Amino acid sequence: MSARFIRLGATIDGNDAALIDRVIPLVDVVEVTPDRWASFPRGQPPRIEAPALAALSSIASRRTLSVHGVGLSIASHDGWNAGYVNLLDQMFGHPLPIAWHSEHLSFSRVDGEPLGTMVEPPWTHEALDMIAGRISALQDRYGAPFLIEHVVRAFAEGEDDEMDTASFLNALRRRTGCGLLLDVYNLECDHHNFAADPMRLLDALDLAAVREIHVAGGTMHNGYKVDIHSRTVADSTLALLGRVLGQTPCVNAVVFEILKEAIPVMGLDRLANELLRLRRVLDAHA
Amino acid sequence: MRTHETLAVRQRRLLAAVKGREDDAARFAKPELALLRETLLWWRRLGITQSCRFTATLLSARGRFEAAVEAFVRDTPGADSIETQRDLFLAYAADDDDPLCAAVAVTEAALIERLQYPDAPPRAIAWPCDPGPVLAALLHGKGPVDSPNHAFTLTVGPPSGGGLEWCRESPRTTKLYDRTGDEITLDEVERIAI
Repeated sequence: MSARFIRLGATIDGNDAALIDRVIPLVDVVEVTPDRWASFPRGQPPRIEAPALAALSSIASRRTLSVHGVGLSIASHDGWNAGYVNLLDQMFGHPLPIAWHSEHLSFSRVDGEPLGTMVEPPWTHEALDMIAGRISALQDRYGAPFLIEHVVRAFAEGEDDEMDTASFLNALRRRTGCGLLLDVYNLECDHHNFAADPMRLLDALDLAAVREIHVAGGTMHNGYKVDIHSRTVADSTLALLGRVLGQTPCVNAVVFEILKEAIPVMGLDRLANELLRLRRVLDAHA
Repeated sequence: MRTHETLAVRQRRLLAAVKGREDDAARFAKPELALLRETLLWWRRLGITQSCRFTATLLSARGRFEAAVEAFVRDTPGADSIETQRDLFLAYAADDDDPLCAAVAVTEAALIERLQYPDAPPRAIAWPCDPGPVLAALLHGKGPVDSPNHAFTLTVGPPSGGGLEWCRESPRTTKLYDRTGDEITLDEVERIAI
């Protein structure tokens, strides 16, 4: 049996030459968020300008490029965010060789108004039907593999839900053929904030559908663990990653998420060291 | 059997509760709603601090920044991008009851416009005091010391040069102005504010 190769990735949010030059030699995958590469000219829809597209093309010529959305709002009752889809259209149409793209299972807009954060929908059949239809539409539109990621829960599973998280994700997978993006830091947040047992979710989830894993480090606020990608990865997160890697035979990449605003604080040297540390972890699970 | 709310109803009620527009907290578990609201406000404060440095610094120095961001979130639709949020916040702060906060917000918006669109027409902005010490303090991330009230007009991007200039209305005439300074250049503003 041959050893599997798990790619290491990192987010690069924006056309920052120093960051790009430092990160690229250390990773196999670069993950970009369209909103972070877009310009927002007054009175006009957002767009990705030619220099940003050129930089993305350059990255894609050197490393696998994946797109990770935060702006689609796939679970909004009134439709997805058309402005974000325009950005995706621009990137896929450039054309950039996007290996896969992903989005959060959440809504961040209501009746067109930004909510300011991402919130999971209730796990209901109404939400399942709506979101499955949109995932299928995305897959038809771009013809590229699509992954859906669970967000840090805003609310504990409860009486608004008609099924549990794993059942909802498995149903989306079955209906659409999409892959899953598992965020082990999000699982840790849910465990801390709502005593949601990550092992219970993992036991029930179709782990063969997991194509990508996110790791990140965040912070505590008022006793809650919050999903802010501002720190290096905690040892507890790495331990959970190790357990997950042992159960996810089809995972292609583990991506370290780091907030653009946190990089000046963390520093490029520390970021580089963190990627080297993560590489050693992945090698140990090859 | 419990009847579930539709997605539309649930999402609209959540939006109102999170933005503080109605007292719907009982509908959603309070600690969870508090976390959601605090997360939202944290992101807004971060974005506004980084994109509206003069106005955020002044509001912070006056102990009003957090309340101003809460009111902004409650009263406006918000934005998908930092840039749009910045423009909305500065427009919101331009109506502040504190005339100095309002003047700083209008000035900051004009500076950003000038940096983004060098051909933008000059903007003349009414100030309640000498802009010089205020802008100098804000450029260094400090709140300004109190300065005597006096009507000034600050012009951003005057045709004669690339910087700022401001004039104090003379107490002896109503038409003549006593030019007092143009010590701050757009380069300095760009280095700090953008």
